[in-house]
Amino acid sequence: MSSAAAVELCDADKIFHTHHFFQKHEETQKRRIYYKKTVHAVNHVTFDIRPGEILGLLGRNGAGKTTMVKMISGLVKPNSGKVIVDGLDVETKRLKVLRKIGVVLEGTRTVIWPLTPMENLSYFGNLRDVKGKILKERSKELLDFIGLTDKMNVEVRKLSRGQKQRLAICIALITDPPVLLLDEPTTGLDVQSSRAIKDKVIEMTRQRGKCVLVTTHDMNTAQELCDRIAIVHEGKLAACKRTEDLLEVFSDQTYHLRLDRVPDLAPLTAIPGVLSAAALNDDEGIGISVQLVADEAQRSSALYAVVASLERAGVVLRAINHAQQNLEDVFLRITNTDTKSGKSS
Amino acid sequence: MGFFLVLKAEVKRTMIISRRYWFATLTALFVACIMFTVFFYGFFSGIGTGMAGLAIDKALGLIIGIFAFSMVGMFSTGLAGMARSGELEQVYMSPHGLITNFMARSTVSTILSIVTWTVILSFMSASLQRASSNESPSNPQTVQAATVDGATNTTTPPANASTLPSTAGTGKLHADPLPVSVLFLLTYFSMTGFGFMIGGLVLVFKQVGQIAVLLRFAMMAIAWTASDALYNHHIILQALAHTIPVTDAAICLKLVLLKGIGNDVFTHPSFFYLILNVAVWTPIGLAIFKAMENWARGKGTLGAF
Repeated sequence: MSSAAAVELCDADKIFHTHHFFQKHEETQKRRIYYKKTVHAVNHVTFDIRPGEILGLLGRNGAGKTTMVKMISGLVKPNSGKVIVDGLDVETKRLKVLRKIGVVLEGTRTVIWPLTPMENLSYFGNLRDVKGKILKERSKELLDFIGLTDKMNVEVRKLSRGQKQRLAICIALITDPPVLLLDEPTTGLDVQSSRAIKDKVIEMTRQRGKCVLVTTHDMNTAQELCDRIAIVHEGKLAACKRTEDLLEVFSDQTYHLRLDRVPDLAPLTAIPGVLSAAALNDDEGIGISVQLVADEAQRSSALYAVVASLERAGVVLRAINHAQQNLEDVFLRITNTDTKSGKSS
Repeated sequence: MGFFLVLKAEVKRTMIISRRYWFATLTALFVACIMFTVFFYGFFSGIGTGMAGLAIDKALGLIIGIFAFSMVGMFSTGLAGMARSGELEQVYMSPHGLITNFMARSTVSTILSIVTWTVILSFMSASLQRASSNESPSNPQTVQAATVDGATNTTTPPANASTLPSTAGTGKLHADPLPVSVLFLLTYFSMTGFGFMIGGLVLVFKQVGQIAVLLRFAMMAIAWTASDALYNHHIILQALAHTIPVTDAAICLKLVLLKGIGNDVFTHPSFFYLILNVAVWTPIGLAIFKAMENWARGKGTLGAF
């Protein structure tokens, strides 16, 4: 763990218990007088975010992303482990930590609808100890930065969802915090609004040196926005790498072989080092896609064996391509592998 | 310091919203004024008592009841609504803490209540007295309303004078600044302490909100009927009534505002019970709220309802 990290989660763990009375049990579908359900929302997670970095938390619904954001912002107390923000323990110095973070929770719940953007900034600024001239100047600067100057005196209820979301980011930035937590900032937004928010987040991180944590299940957003990506699956951290490294991990292992016809796939999957083989039929023609093991020597032997097998079967080999992965493929493979093995990769 | 910043923010927000939705604000005030006056004047004239004192006594009781009702409401249904809309999470993330925020919110709501209801009560008191003085003195029951205010013109008491509560005066309001301010302050603290206890429970046990609804109505009824006739009841009933913060607050406020007993209220047993209520409910309420706030963080229910 880096000592220069702005945010650190050290072996953080959170289990939620829910109590149900006179309800049908989710698994047995039988009505019970009482049953208790346990959800391991965050399972001994460790990661950090450095200043000037955007970390994306990627995961399915219910994977534990929002719980992690809430743990960092002090809204949820971990069962064990530590959450450190700018060197301060969230549990013991929560009120001080709150001066160092800006949080945008999911949806547009942050803003007060009967007030204008300027009044919202004034209200939340006062709540967070920003006063007088500094508050006025910062409010104007933020509205200008986020592109809402022309709407500064329009009631929030009359703004579009994207504008409300941008205002929520301004509110989170009113104390000029070094850490910004964005929970699904682009969900439900149109392409332009989503683009505008992404641009502003990048600009803010690069120009102002903020440390940003973004949770999302939009792979494009994560791929475009984040310097590093942490994939969360069933409360566990399944992967945490630089975006390009993450894409590289699986790119090495998948090959597309363009053929004159699709052969029988069973002999191919029996070759040692071949994890899977599937038929391909796209714009580039027909063929097969083979996924090989990560070990380079084994992978090389397996690839030679696949080609030999195809030659024996009388199939014409037209081309071999190294498959280009996108984040969605990587995400699906990590989470599927994880589901099958029950282990974090 | 934090309290005043939050207070300033809340006052500004309330003022902006009241000003922006001025028609709704004025309509609400106007409707409350008219409804109160018409209801009380009509009701008491209709049953033939014609007693402005009784009408104002009941109106003040109702107003204190409404204050208690809205204060507990702010900590029960209000807090639940904030949890539902996500506002509670935002407030919780302010570096001043939830307790400071709620203290400031309850202060603003109390000040607003006092201003609004003072206007309404004064309006009502003035119209009832004017109406009473215009009535013919041939009816002995209306003589009471018209002349007792004059203090020296005592005539034959009405047949039903014994039905008047001991706190009821002549219908004239006595705004003695010192006792009224002290009583308002004590009422505010006892109600806030009690509200914090309910609010803390609502943070974790969401169903408490339903029980709080019953409690709110009970408090309103108690404030409506509270008088020092309470001391004639059985000791257990007395003890029960004294544990509810609104009982003694209502008795004391009625004695000062309606009977005009002024500083004598400081020696009245209800005043001591009111102090006891503040001394008990404030620390209990704050301690329960703090503990429940921590528990709610553990359960992750701060932003859920």
